[in-house]
Amino acid sequence: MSEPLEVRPVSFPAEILARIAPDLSIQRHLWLGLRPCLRSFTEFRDVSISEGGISRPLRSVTGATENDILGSNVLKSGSTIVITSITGGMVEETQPATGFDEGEQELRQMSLASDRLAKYGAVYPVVEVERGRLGAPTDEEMILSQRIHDNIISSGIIPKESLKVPVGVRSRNEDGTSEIFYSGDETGGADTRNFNLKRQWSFVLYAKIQVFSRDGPLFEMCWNSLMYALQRTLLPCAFVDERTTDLKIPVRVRGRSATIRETYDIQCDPTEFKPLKLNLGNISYGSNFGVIDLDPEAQVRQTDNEMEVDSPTSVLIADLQGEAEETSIKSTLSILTDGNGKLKHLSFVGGGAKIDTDAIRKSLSLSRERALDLKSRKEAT
Amino acid sequence: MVNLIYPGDSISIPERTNVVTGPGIYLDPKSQHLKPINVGIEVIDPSKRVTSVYLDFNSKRYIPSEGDFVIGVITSTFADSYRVSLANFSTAVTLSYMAFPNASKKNRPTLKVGDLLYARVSKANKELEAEIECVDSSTGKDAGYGHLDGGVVVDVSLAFCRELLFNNDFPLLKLIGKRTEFEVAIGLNGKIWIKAADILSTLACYRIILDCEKQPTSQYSEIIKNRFKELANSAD
Amino acid sequence: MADLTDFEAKFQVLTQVDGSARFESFGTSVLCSVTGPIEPKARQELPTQLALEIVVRPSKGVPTTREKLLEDKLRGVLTPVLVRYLYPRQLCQICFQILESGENEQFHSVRELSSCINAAFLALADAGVGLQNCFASCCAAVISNADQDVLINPSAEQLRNASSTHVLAFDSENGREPDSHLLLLESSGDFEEETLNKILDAGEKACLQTVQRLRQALKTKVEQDLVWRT
Repeated sequence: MSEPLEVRPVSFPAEILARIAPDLSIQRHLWLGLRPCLRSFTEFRDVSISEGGISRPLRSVTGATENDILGSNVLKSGSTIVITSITGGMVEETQPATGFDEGEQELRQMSLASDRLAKYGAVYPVVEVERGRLGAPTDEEMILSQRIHDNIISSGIIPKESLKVPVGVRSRNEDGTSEIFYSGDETGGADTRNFNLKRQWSFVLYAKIQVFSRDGPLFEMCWNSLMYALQRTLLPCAFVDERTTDLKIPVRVRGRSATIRETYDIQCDPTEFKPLKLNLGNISYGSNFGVIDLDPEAQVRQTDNEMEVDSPTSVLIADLQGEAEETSIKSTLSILTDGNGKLKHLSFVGGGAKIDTDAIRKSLSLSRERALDLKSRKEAT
Repeated sequence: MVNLIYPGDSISIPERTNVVTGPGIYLDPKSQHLKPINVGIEVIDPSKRVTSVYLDFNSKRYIPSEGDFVIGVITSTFADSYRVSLANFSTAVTLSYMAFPNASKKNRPTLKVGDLLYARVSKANKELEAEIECVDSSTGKDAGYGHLDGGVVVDVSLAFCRELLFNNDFPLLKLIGKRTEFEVAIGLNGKIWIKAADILSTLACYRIILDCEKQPTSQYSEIIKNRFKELANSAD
Repeated sequence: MADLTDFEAKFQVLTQVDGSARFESFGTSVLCSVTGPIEPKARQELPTQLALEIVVRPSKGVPTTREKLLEDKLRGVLTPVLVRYLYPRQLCQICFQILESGENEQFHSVRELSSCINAAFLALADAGVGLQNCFASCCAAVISNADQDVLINPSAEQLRNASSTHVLAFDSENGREPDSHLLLLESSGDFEEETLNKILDAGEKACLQTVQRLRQALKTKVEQDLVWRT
């Protein structure tokens, strides 16, 4: 009863404070002029990439043909690893039911020309954030995948033209060996013009983006990795057998006669690949930023006589990392730019500190520099 | 219309030290400024010892507040308390067995799950589960709370309930009283319990209350006349 | 020319929820319902603040990842404007039913998103859930071969030809002297910093104008709500 009550301030080691009060921990760091990850405010993490390592076309030279990956990229940034692998499928394009109608074709072209986005093809990405268990895709994965998909179309990276399958003909020589001729081939022995192909096929591209040890926002990393992978993607050439190109089977059903055309058996060439033609000018690279208000109460004062310095009330943080930054920084900016002043996508969410024109200008110029840096890495490899 | 306030607008409160805030006014914990957070009519009442500031607006979802009269349904029973639902899908409130008149360890209340009761909110804190009581806790005596037997419950908007309960000049109940005898209990959680002499009159009251919620007071006598006539005809 | 920030608003369209509103503007129509604060499921509960459940349903078909992305964007706008710490351990359900899209859903969602934000403000105000500020949204487009003018609330046809599309949302701290704050900017397509500045200026103006109109709509609603006083 009579024991004097002693009240002592509790202090925690930095790593414990960071777990129990991430917002306070981050404020303390910011007042010292750095971030919990010990980077300065506008310093980006280094990115290392290795391209094409697991894709089939690039390894086919060495005879390794164990997968059907058309393009790939591995991107490492901090502790996070993003692996992108691009695979493909083929679909037959819808054609007019009877013959080739020039007027109808023109109409199709016109409607395509007026719709800017209809000219571009998409990639269907599936983002998987590995967290050690299986299950249905989480909201985050669905949102990331959809965002990447939307931006591939709206950026106009892949023209639909470049997804058309170049179809060749395989003909059997007299000596029993077979040869494949493509319409573009000058050396074509067989007359490919005879082979009047009325049907068209297109490639559909899928991207599987796997993320290991997630540490902060992912959209930009996944996007950058996909950009690298797409630029190293090779599409296979495909052919049909000569004997099936003009095959008609007459049939008679209840007195009416008709002909059935055998479905073309389209096959991919295991060795011939052509690079995917992209609108290189529309390729962009992403970077993210956050704006956070400095809380004057969290300031650690070294000495009492330190004068009230006219310090900024909010700071711009580049390349968010770690749970503390992700949860405490509510105002975020995500920018996709090509580095030459062209912007492709912006997503600003002003949930916390005010995003003013200063922050916007600064983040845009930083993202430009970052994009140029990321672009040069592609050329270096 | 008097002074209509929107969320985030600035409000001018007379310089007084004792300000009590009511619904629609929020004290921002960081800036320590009072700000309106709803769309409603500004009421600043400096007449009492303290200046009360609140917004008057209509809504449907009841949030328990200390001293409110409420009507609830018992949803489950525990060793020493009932769980009572004041609004569908809202967090249920607690009614202790000791919060009844003449309660003791041996003298337990006899209410069952599904019973309707009239009570008063005794504790309301946003962080904790609210509590209600069926006794006047200052005197420890019966104060008209408890089981509501028979009758019907009308679900109406919260502002309409406040008007019926607090505005003694509101004509609706007086007008109904000219037609039939009835018992009424008004819960501020948007529930009105009404019980008249027979089922037909009860039904008439039910319909009248629902109609009158959407009409100006000048229409009330007309509505009441029509509703009773309708039922008199259908009874034949 | 018709005023492009024009809209039609209806309140209390649904009787079984706490607040609802229908927002209709040039071919895009959205119904928003708000229920809350109610008891959350255990996994939704946040110990210190209001949890949000946002559901978007498309005008045709079943919800897909496209709607999930819309939900995420709406969450980004609605989280900061709600007075979350007033309702700890509670849940607020906000559902959007797109009635008419008013744009090509395959490529765009700008009209839907901005209408959803405006509908949410009206429905939240109707439900009486605490809001920090009034807010509003608009969409914008820039057509490439034209003179780079910013079109506010473009039509489906204009969106088809647009070189870039944008959605903006601002809140206004005080209705009388606007001190606004950017809540959301979603841009995609092909544009430059200069265009962006133009869009931010024009968008802010349009949003503040919309806030004023939304406030007018709410005024008639309050009059209707307290009809027995007249």
